[in-house]
Amino acid sequence: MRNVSKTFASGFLFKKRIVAVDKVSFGIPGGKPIVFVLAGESGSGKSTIAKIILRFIKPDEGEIFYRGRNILSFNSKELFLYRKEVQAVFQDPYSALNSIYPVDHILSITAKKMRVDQNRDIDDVIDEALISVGLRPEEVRGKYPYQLSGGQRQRILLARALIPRPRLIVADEPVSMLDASLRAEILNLMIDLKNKHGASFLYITHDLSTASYVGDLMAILYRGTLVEIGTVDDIINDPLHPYTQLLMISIPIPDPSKRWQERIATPEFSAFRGLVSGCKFYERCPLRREDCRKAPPSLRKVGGRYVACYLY
Amino acid sequence: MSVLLKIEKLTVAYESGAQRIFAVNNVDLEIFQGEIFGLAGESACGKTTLANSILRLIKPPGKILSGKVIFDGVDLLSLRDTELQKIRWEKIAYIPQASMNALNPVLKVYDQIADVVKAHKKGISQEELRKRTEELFMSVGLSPEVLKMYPHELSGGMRQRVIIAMSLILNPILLIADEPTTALDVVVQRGIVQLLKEINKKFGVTILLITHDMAVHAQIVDRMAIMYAGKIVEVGPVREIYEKPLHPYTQLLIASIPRAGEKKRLAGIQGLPPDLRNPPPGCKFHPRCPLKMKERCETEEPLIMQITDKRGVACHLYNR
Repeated sequence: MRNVSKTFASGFLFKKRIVAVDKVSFGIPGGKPIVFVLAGESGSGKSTIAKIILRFIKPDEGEIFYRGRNILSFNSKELFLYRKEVQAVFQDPYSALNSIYPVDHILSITAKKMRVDQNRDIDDVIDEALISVGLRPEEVRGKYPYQLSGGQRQRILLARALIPRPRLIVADEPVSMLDASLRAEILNLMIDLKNKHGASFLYITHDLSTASYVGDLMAILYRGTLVEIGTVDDIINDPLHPYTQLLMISIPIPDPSKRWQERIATPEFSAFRGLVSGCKFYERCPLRREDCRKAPPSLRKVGGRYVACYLY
Repeated sequence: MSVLLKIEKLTVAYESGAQRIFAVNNVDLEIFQGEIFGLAGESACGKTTLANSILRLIKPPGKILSGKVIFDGVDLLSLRDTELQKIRWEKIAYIPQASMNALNPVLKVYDQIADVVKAHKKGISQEELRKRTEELFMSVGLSPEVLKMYPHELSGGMRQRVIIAMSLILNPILLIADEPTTALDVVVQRGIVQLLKEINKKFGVTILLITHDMAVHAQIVDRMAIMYAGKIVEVGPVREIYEKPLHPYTQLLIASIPRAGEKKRLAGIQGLPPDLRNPPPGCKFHPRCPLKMKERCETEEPLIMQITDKRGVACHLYNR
């Protein structure tokens, strides 16, 4: 992704402009399959980026390259291939499955169009996909989505995403609507799919605990701007950007002997956010200086990662 | 510590046609004055139904079949509607799930609070109301400016603070909050959790916090109970439960929480929650329990036993 920006206009006479994505650049390396985390709170622009990558919406500026080719200039054949290789799983397993079809029918639709080996029997393809997500075909065939639990539905969505043998699965909050015990299973499944099927994941979430568990690389977004990018281990153990530091100390640790001691200030802002000059985090930053207001800091290299902050 | 709320043998069922689902199944619970008590459990375990029962907010097809909810010496389930009205909001305040989205979009924040107060305290003067509201807003971390705004102009975290302020306006003794931090970002969540702690300390409000988020419980509650399939499976001080969970479900639940920085493989819980229309015989957790003892667990329902004076668990492993 290079210099991608997207602004949404809303309100009466479209006067309100919200810069959802602001000149974002990052790359997911090929080669070994990885889990790349795009982390940020609501309003950070992460879902907009997902939609841009999936070509559901067009950016206002910037380019997106997939294996070297600009995805916005694909012809229909290239686009069909792109949609096979880049699949998606979304947050809500309750509404993402068409409820009038049994789940094996839903999977057969994808299998018919997008199975890699056109000579293979469709039912074999479906069974294989179900088994690879830990579902027993005899338990789910013929069932309608409402007859399955949230965790089972999310597995069906992952099965569907796997049928075309994708290289990249864009997963937008795939576990946030699931209970803790199910979350663990789906997260483990993602790791297994990465290792066994060679699929990379773009895992989009606001939950840094799950990001830390599955992620290899991570980019932190704040109000449309990328503020820190590096390996998950580096960022979790030693967050550099003041916003990343704020995020890390706000994660509730599931251990009563490690309770938050100090009271942090959490000033909150109203829903409308206008255009801002300088660093977007200025108002909430405990380490801010006057200079930070003048122009937004660019991403600069600090050790093995990049941070958008004048402190470095 | 004195007992503020005592739930005795409460059973709540949902009836549809010939089927009856026991959403809350013979539950006993005690909440002490001044504490923050956590009620944990995953979807459909019965915790929200339990919360709704306390103030008799169960609507058909749900029905409270039996039991008592004793508050300040009185069984709330035996009161007339008019008497219960005086308890709701004035003595016991309730913040249901997603209530921050239920604010009236066409009324300014101040007007909504004024409505609540006037409905309960008709004699209050404009000045007194305004003063009390402004003071309360400051203590929940909101600028009095917010009073003049409409809900859609506020962020999710601010709306949640408005809801909390509204619940405290009549100085209740007990605050019941159902999933008050779900759907909020992690930084905002920390602010709300801090706020609930402060309310408990500063105003002495007893809090019943209901959430599936075990990390939030760990951060704020004094004692907690874990529910599964309509029953309480474990209860005790939060530190002890996390250090040494007794019930196999609690153990697995705690083992499935990711901790930032730790890569150890998380446990899930194999199998699915029981279909309450056709629950398994004996212990409801036995089909998924790695430690089950075949004959007993499959036929006999374990009752809650006091292991120490502070801890209770419903499991045959502790009742041989």
